[in-house]
Formats: sequence, structure tokens, C-alpha cells
Amino acid sequence: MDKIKIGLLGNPNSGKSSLFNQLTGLRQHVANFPGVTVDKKVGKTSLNENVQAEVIDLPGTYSLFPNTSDEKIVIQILSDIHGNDYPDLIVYVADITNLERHMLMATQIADLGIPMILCLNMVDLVEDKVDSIHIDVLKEFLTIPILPLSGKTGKNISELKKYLFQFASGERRRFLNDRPVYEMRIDENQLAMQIKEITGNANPYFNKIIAHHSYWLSHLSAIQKENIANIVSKNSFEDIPRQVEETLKRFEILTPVVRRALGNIPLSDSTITSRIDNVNTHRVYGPLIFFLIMFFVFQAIFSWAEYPMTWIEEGFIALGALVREVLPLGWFTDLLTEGVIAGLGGIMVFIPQITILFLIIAALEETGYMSRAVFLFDGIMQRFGLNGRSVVALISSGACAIPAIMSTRTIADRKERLITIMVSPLISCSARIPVYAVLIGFVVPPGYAWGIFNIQGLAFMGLYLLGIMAALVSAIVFKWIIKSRDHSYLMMELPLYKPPVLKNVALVVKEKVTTFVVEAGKIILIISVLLWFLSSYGPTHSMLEASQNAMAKAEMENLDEDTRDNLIAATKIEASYAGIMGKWIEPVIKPLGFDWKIGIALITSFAAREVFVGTMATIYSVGNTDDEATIREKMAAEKDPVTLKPRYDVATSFSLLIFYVFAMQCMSTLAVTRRETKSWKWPVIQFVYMGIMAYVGSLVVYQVLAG
Amino acid sequence: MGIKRLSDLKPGQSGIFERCTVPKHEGKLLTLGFVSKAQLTLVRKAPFGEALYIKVNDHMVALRYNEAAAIDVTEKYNG
Repeated sequence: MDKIKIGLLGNPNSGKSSLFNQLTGLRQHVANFPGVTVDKKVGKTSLNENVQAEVIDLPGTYSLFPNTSDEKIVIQILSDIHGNDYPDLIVYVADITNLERHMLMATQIADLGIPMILCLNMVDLVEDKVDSIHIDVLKEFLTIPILPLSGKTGKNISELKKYLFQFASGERRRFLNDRPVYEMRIDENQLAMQIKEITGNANPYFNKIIAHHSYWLSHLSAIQKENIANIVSKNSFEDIPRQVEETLKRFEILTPVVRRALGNIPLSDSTITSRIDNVNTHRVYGPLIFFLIMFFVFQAIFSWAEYPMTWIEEGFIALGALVREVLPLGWFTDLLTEGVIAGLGGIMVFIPQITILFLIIAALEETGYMSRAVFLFDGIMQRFGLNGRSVVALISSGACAIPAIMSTRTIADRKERLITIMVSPLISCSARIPVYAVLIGFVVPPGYAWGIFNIQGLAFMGLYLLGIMAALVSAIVFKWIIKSRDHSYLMMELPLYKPPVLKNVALVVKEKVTTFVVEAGKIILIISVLLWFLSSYGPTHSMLEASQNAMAKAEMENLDEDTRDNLIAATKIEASYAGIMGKWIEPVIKPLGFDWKIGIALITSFAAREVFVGTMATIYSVGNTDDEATIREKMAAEKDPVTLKPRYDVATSFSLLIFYVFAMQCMSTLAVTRRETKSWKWPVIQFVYMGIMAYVGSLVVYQVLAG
Repeated sequence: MGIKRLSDLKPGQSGIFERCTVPKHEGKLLTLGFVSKAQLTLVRKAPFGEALYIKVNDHMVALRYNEAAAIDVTEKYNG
């Protein structure tokens, strides 16, 4: 017996993920649907000791007439009968408290002739009204198994598995609906007959769906598309009016049935949600509560994450030391410790922050709060060419632009999504914090303004605000430039509030963190190894000369071992390829007030911005990279060789800060942008426009302050 | 009882859904519960303009101003 493939389908907010998690537990993973960046969650479920089934969690969809790229995937899969993801059986999940609306697509699937089970989810919410619910009325309407259950409490999940087992054992007939719900018009039937010649599928409704969507379905060949388009125009079949007519007709048929089945009593109670929303979406309290939540999010990210981050950093330092001790000296050990382990540490250190961020975002999403945030900010976001849904991405960028860019998939409008992706990296991410921390000390003195506000803290906040402003201004510019054929809309359900299900939240967090580690990880790792090579190797003779000079100098000045090693490291990096590159770009960055040493740091920052501190530590030969104060002292002591003024005066430091606020120094983000936009064009534009902003910004700041 | 645009209702006022005048929106609106004779209430407007909080029978939906302007309702007597 072949393993059966089950497609889990339903409207957004139908509790589909709860059911998916009930069925599969931890045996799930995320893949991509071929050719598109829509997450495909796949899991396994056991039907008995020997029989397993594969479960695919299809994106939440309202009907077979899709609006977003997520919804299109469903049509793509269900219309590609020979495709890899085509399900043997659909488990359709409908929220029993919203049954009328959720039944629309159920009747469409039934008409497609795909075997299905209809699950009436969330029965736990209507326990007290269960007597007035008549499942048999629905069973007369659709001759398929219909099962009330709860993905939250697990009620009747075992019954569902029995049905699945029955299907897996070869029983098929009882999972098919006897007669179509929607009776196609005569002309629609004629059209379907003609399209059948091309698809080879005898189901008339299947061919109608093909007629609606053929032009974007990727499994059809160009010739097939052309032939179908010809048939469609010959029959004067109009896409939108036919969609609307069909939908109206379906509601006309199913509404009285559902009302009879549910005994005409309202099953959902929106009183509590209405009361909460009186505050949460209030014109004054709404935004206030939102900013309080955001304040809490950032507090959490930056204070709770501090300890685990330190542990991870120290762990990797210890691991590096251990490897040095165990393995013999040589290039391989260097590669392992300075390239691989340091690179891995650079990724892992962000895990606590990203975990906390997604823990809160996933919980807010689960409760239904996020759609209220979208409602509150859609108006203001639109002025910047963004969407209410961009708010979530921009907040995530405060931790890291990578998960932020991935979260833009929920934005249906291509232009709004693209703009959100393009500007997200301008929001100061947590990798910029160590850089800000080192440099702010040179720009503003410690102390308090008006006795209460820490001036350096204010400067910190100023840099964040600068990033946000830059993101919004850039968004406006992109709004003018990018052309769009798509139609932007809000039209969004505001689901009832419900307490978050811990298991769902935990699984979302696990999935997001894994994606981050894999996506960002592989790039950071490659770049770290590359940078390790560039800063450890150089033209052989000059490297040799450099270390000999350093040795000689150390001997002459009678330096202790540590200082000597640091000096050698510093001279070597100067002679290395990285050093050569730093000197090579010096003429370009000189007008910004930067010398070749800063040049090296700028180059190495492309792995991850916080590498700046480590590089500075090496160049200024400070043994312990963790000690920001020591690095700052060394940098403060650095003099310009010509003017003998401090190298890191206010002008240079400020200029460098501005550069780090604006510049696109993150290869992983560029890689994710490429993946999400499916073209090299957008990451290149992102790199260039942010680079120009950084260069011009720093140039102006330096020239004004130094002049 | 006159026909009004949903966007012209004042916060707290209700109307009965008649039709959507932009065919492109119609399919999506249907799936959100904007079906014949549904009771629509404009609950409130978002703080920065644009978005409207609409109650459709017993559940809630957010629409932009221009989306609500394409929906005709017969005004209910809001005593």
C-alpha cells in the first residue's frame, strides 16, 4: 500500500494549524512549494502501528478564486493532478462557529471530485449548544464523512484517524460527493467539454476552474495556455462575473442548509471581542496600547536575551580555545577556530533575540491582535506605499531583517510587499548595537540631560529614529518609482480574540528560528571563512616580512607574550589581503574621514555588522574582543599620522555611525531578498541605494563637522 | 429608506447590504460575509483615517474607505 497524501485545507482562522499540530506533533518540517516562496508544512501521522500518512498543510484560503500568492498555491496544487503535491484526500477544516462562510470552498472542493472529509472544527466552543446541531442535515447535503472535532482539545481526532485509515485501506467511494452542489450553466458546460480535450479531465467543474486560472497555472504548457485562452474567448467566458455568479449561487444553496443544520442560533459570540476592541482599536488607546506592546517587545529582546547571548558567546570562545588546545597548530586549526567556530558563534548569538521576538509575535498573531495592528496602521502605512501588514515586518527588523523579509509573504500586493522588503534593512537591527555602543562614546560624552535622560541613551535612540525615518522616506521614493499592475486592498477578517495555544506558538517559533539559522547561517558561515582567509593570508613575502618586523619590534621593546602576539596579529592583518583591500579603498573613503583600518572593518562587516568590533580589536591588537572599553581606549589613543589629532574625533566617529545606520552590510539579508523577490535585480538595488545613502550621509556629516 | 454608501454611515450606524459596485472586490467580499441582506454596522474609523471597522452580522472585518465606498446599503432606521 502506497503512503497516502492528505491535504489539509480551510479558510484562514479555521484552526487548521491546531489540527495539523494535533495530527503530526513534532513530526513536521517546512519545505518550499516548487518555484514559489510559500512555506509548505509537511508532517507525518500514524493511522495505526503500521500505516502512516503524509499531511500537507495547505495555505489558508477563502475560495478557489484566489487573491494572494498563498491562495494561488492551493489552486496550483489542486489543478495539477499529476503533480507531486496533489493530495489523495482533502481534510477540509471549517470553523463551526463560522460555518456559512467556511462552507463555500468546501462545496467547491466537493465539486472538484476530490475525496474529502469535512471537519467541523472548534466544537469545544459550542459544547453547550450541541443539542441543536444537526449533522445529518449536512450529510444529506454533502455525501461525505462529516465530523465535529476540536483541534484544540483533541476531541474526535481518533475518529478522524479512523476515517483516514479507512481511506488508506482502499475505501474511496464514500469520500466522494454524489452530485455537484453548483450546477453549471449550459454555456459553462460547453466550455468545460472543450477544455476537457486539453486537460483530459472529465470533471466539468475542474475544467471551469482551469478556464478561470489557466493563464497563471505553471503546470500548463504555453501551447495549452494558448488553446485554453482561445476556447475561453471563443465562448466569451468572462472570468470575474462568472466567479461572482458562481459564488453567489453557492451561498444561495448552502446558506439555508447550514442554518437548518445549526438550528438558526448564532454559535459565535462576539461580545467579548467587541469589548476588547473598543479599547484596542480606539483612536487614542489603540495606538497607545500598540506602542506599549512594542516597548515591551524591545525590552524583552534586549534585556531577557542578554544573559543567554553572553552564554552563547562565551561558549563559542571556550569551544575555540578547546579546539586550539586539542588540535595541532596550523592553518586547519586556524580555519576551524577563526573561520568556522567564530562564524557559527556569530549566528547562534542572535538565537535568543529571535526566539523572544517570534515568541511574542506568534502569540500576538494567535490571539488575533496582529490584525488589529494592521487595521490601526493601514492608513498611515499606505501613505508610504506600504501596507498595514508591513508593520509586523518593520517591527521584526528591529531584531533582524531576515525574518522580517520572510514575514512579508502575507502582503498580497506585489508593490507593497517589495517596498517593505526594500526598506526593512534600514531599521536598526541588533547586529548594529555593538557598533553603536563602541562609537557613541566618541560622539557624545557620558552624562545626563535635564538630570534624568542618559545622553548616550538618547543618542542611541536617535540612531534608531534615523533608521526608521530613512526607511519611511525610502518607501515614499520607491512608491513613486515602482510600477504596479496589482490591485492593493485591505479587506481583512478581524477574527475573534482567543487565548493562544502554547503548542502552536512553540511550533511557529521553532520553525522560524530553524529557518533563520539555516538561511542566515550558511551565508554568514561562508563569508566568515572567506574573511578569515582574506585577513590571515596575503602575498607570502610581505606577510613574512610583517611578522618578522613585529617580532623584532617586540624583542626590542621587551614586550610580554600577550602584547607581542597582539602586535603580530595587527601587523599581519595590515599585510594581509584584507589589509591590501583596506588600503585600496582608502582613497574612496577618505572624504568620509575613514582610513584603511576602518576600511578593513567596513569590508569584514559584510559578514555581519557586529564583526566590526572584533576586527577593530584585531587591528588595534586588543586581546579580548569582549571588552568594549579596552577597544574604545585603544581607538581613542589612535592619532592621525599627519595632523596628530585623535583619529576617532567627533567627525569621524559620527560619520562612521551614520555609515552603519544606512549601509547594506549584510550578505544574508541580500540573499534572502534575492530568494523572496526571485531576482538579482532587487538585492542589487537594495545594496546600491543603501550604499549611496550611507556614503552621502557620512560625507556630509564628516565634511560639515570636520570643516 | 434610501440607498447609501457604507462609507457614508456614521460610526455606530447600520445598514443592510445591497450590492457591491466594483466587480473586482465582489468575490473577496462574498467570502468575508458580505452577502445579500447581511447587516452591516460601521463600528469605528481607524485613528489615521482610511481603515474602517465593520461588523458583518456577527463578525468583524476591516475595510479601506474606498472599499466601503463601493458597497451600497439600505439605511436602517437608527432611532
